[in-house]
Amino acid sequence: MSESANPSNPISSPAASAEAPVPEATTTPEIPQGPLGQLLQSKGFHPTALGKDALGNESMSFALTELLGAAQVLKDEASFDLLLSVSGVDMKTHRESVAHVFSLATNTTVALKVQVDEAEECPSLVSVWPAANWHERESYDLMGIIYCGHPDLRRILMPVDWVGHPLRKDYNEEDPRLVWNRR
Amino acid sequence: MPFQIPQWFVWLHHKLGVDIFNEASQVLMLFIWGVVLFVLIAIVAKSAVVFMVLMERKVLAWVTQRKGPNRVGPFGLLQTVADGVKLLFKEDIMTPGQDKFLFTLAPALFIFPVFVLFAFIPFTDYFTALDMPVGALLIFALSSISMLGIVLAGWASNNKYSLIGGMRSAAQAISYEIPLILSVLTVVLFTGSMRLTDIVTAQQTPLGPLGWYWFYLTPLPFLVFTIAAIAEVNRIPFDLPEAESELVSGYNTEYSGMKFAMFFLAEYAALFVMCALSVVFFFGGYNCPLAGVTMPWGTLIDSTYINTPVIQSAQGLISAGVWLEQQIKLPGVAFLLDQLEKISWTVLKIYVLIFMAMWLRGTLPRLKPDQLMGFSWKFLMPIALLNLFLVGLQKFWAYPNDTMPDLIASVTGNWGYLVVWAVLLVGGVGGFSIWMSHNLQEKLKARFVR
Amino acid sequence: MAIPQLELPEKPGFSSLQGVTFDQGLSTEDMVINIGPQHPSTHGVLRLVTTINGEIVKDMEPVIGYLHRSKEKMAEGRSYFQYQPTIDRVEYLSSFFDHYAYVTALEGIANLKVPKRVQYIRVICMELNRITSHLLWFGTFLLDLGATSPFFYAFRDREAIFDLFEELTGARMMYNYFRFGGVNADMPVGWLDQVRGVINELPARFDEYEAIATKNPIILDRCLGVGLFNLQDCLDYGVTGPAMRACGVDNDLRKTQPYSSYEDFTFDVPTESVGDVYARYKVRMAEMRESLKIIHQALDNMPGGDTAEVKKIQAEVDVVANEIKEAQKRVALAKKQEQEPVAADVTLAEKTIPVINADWQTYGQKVNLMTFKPPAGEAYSQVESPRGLLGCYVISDGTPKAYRVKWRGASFSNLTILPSLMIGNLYPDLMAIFGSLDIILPEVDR
Repeated sequence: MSESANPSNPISSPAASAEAPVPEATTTPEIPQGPLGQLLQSKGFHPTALGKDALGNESMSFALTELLGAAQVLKDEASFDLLLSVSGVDMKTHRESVAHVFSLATNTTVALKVQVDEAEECPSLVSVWPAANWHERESYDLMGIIYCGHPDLRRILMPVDWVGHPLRKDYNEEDPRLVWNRR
Repeated sequence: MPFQIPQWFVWLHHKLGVDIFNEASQVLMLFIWGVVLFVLIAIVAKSAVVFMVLMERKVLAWVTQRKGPNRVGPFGLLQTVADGVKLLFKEDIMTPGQDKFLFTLAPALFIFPVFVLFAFIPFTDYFTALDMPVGALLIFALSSISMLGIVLAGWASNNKYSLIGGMRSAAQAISYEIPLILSVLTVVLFTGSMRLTDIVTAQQTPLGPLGWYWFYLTPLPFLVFTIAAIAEVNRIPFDLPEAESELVSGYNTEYSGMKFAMFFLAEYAALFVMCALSVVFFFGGYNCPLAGVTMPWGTLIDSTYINTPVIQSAQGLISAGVWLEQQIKLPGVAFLLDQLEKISWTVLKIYVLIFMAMWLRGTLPRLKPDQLMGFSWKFLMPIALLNLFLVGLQKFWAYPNDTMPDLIASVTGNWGYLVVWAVLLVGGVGGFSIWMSHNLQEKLKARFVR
Repeated sequence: MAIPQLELPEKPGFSSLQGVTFDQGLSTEDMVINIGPQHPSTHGVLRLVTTINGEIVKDMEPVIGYLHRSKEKMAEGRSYFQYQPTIDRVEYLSSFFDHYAYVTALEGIANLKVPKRVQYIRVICMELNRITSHLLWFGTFLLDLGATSPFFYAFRDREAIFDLFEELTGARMMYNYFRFGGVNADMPVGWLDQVRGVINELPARFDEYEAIATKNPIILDRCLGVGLFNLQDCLDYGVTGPAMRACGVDNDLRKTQPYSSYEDFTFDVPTESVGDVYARYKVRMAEMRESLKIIHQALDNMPGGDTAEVKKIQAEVDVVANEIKEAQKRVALAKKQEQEPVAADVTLAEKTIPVINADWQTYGQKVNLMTFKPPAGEAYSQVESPRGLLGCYVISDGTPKAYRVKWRGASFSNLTILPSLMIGNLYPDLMAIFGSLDIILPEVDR
């Protein structure tokens, strides 16, 4: 019935994907505005603003070396005290570790992203937020991001003897282990 | 003669000319009568247990708003039979690493004493397979053997849950046997006899149910006995040896088929026995609960004769013969009716108690082992000891000549008894509430530690 | 001769056996016991490698992954809508919440408007689902403590609510009802009254349950002071939801970041100050009553009211709209045939086509589910699920398939605190503590 109410539907047309922010910030790095950006700037960190995601959560990207310090500042001075999740995202050329952090005081969520190349190790957030422990293990398990400084970096969801990291885009699905139950 | 000769054999002597004064024939008769009764009771007991399993399922279904088994047979009456057949034909699984001999021995060791215990239950004054002068003692000696079966099962299973279950069972049985026996000791002390029929007879007063020991000795020994008995038969809230949410199935995790069925049956049989003992010790056994009411057949049989203390000597045998000569003149139907009435009262009381235990199972959660032990040693034990002490005092004051108790005389003639009663009641209830509140306060304090 | 003493790990405050020394003349050995993956009270396939000394837990290591069904990988291989039915299985006890998180993320990315009526329907669904989830928790929690009957009582009420869900969505557990920008179909006629009938009975039932359990001395004994943790522990382990609110924090997304029109409803956020098993129990029991409040308000203020009324008005609108459309067609035909259209038709054709109130519809902007292709972008949506903060992180690259979907299950984080709560406590405390955290394994393993 709502078909008649909304005869035109711009959504399914690919042209509509213009103004939404692109996660892989290919544009020139811009300095984040707003209180968080200023706070981090004042502490000598150089985050790259990635704008807000579609639901209004701020996200910013850090260099590998700055992540831990910035996280500590965010925790201590901006009361981002609850780590929600650490997600690994495979960007084909590199991997991204995205930490979503929540502040009980201000009810805001911020996404801290860091690019991890194949040879690099991501600093572990466990020293700042102990809650990151299992999330980083999961990210390591499924995405293969190595977190240096993690107290117990083992596989968590897959069996200990699993080969490869299944959530990678180039994960070989012909791996003999995947057909173990077809023997 | 240290034995009790069933008076039916006196009838044999008079009618058939059996020489009952010959010692050898007495022993033989005693043996035969015991075996006959025991076989009879064993059959009845097994069917009672089979019925209890169904009853439990039906009662629990009723408590939890379900229908319960209703497919096999009319109203699901044959459900347990079907289950039994299933268990009989089930594979008897033995996993590697088990001690085969002990694994097989354990269920037998568990079930054997329980079924022997059925012989001690005085369904009526005649329908008792083993009415021994040390009945109360033997019962608890035998029931402790069952615990050994559980410990063995836990150890022989080669399973950690089973092991924990077996160990818990040992600890629990040791802890709860003491208050159990102490509470029975008050009854024995008050009656002056360990023979179960004596204990039942002593509870026959004009007051009816109020003359039974659950009230007459204050409710405390009865409560201690009930709690300890539920712990002894491993039922909720004391079913730690087989706590299914913690230990999967406890000591019988590894058992299947008929061995499991034996554990299963023996547990219900133990419940039946414990309820029967509770009836004997605290609910007047086969006595009619209607105070002052005598059934028509009861007027035909002179109740003083029926309740004559059991004959323990040749002198007694002769007097029994005299009694029987009078007896045989009466219509035998009256005698049978009287026995039936008594059996009915016993069984009815037992099943009421069993129903209470099932109701309890549907209502209460389970304790932790430390709470279980603490409850036994810190609460039940002192209560039982205090109770024993007070009953001793009461007996000393009220009945210095060791006569059988008479409530009317004691109440009217001895204020000390009333004082003791009041002390027991107030002390028990007060102590319990103080203990509970103290316990809760400790818990509440612990909540604010951080 | 020194008596060997049992060494308890230094975990101040966690152990209920604090200050107790364990003098043991016998030399004992620790026993490693594998609780699970198949165990009656691990609520799924959790394995806890536990070292116990007697009944005292000395170490515990959760092993998860037995139920890993690669939900996140599945999202990358199928279209957004094809992925939706599998979301139900992420957390099967409260799958409306998973759907809500997923759908909201995509509505954010695709910038879809959600009508008020849909928001209210979603609120009713989610709150009913919260009740069913908490009821199941209530039953299994007490079942773990050894009380069998509450399990059946809880299931009776759950069945009644499931009947409502079946009426609404066609399924009792795997609903697959929310859609991008709307819901699958409007409510059946009279469904609101059915809901009202069911939830009117629930407060009395809750009273009964509380009568069984809340003041039961055994339950008090097993729950008071057991499994204590405070707000700092919550933050350190990422514990959220009722377990966090039992530590004295009134953090509830429904209040702090009202989504789906939660700002329209008045309700309280139940909190307890202590943070033990009993406090979590109380919070959950109170939450069910608050959910009933919300449902009552949503039922009373449902935009458009019952479906019958909406259908009636829609039919009236359709008649007028059809007349106008017919007139427009006739006018167009006349113009094509170069004839003079009838004057009445012209005036009719010039009228605007009437539309039913936008708030009353079950779709904001209807999307074609098969070709749904949101623009590139990402969204992290959060919802206050019965177990805590449920997050869904969706990255879209402009294709019909998701680039990455990440589930932040509340159970996953809540489970991490279990070992530290258990060390130094008795083995049977595991049932109380684990039960009170309300962990569901499909959400942990995904």
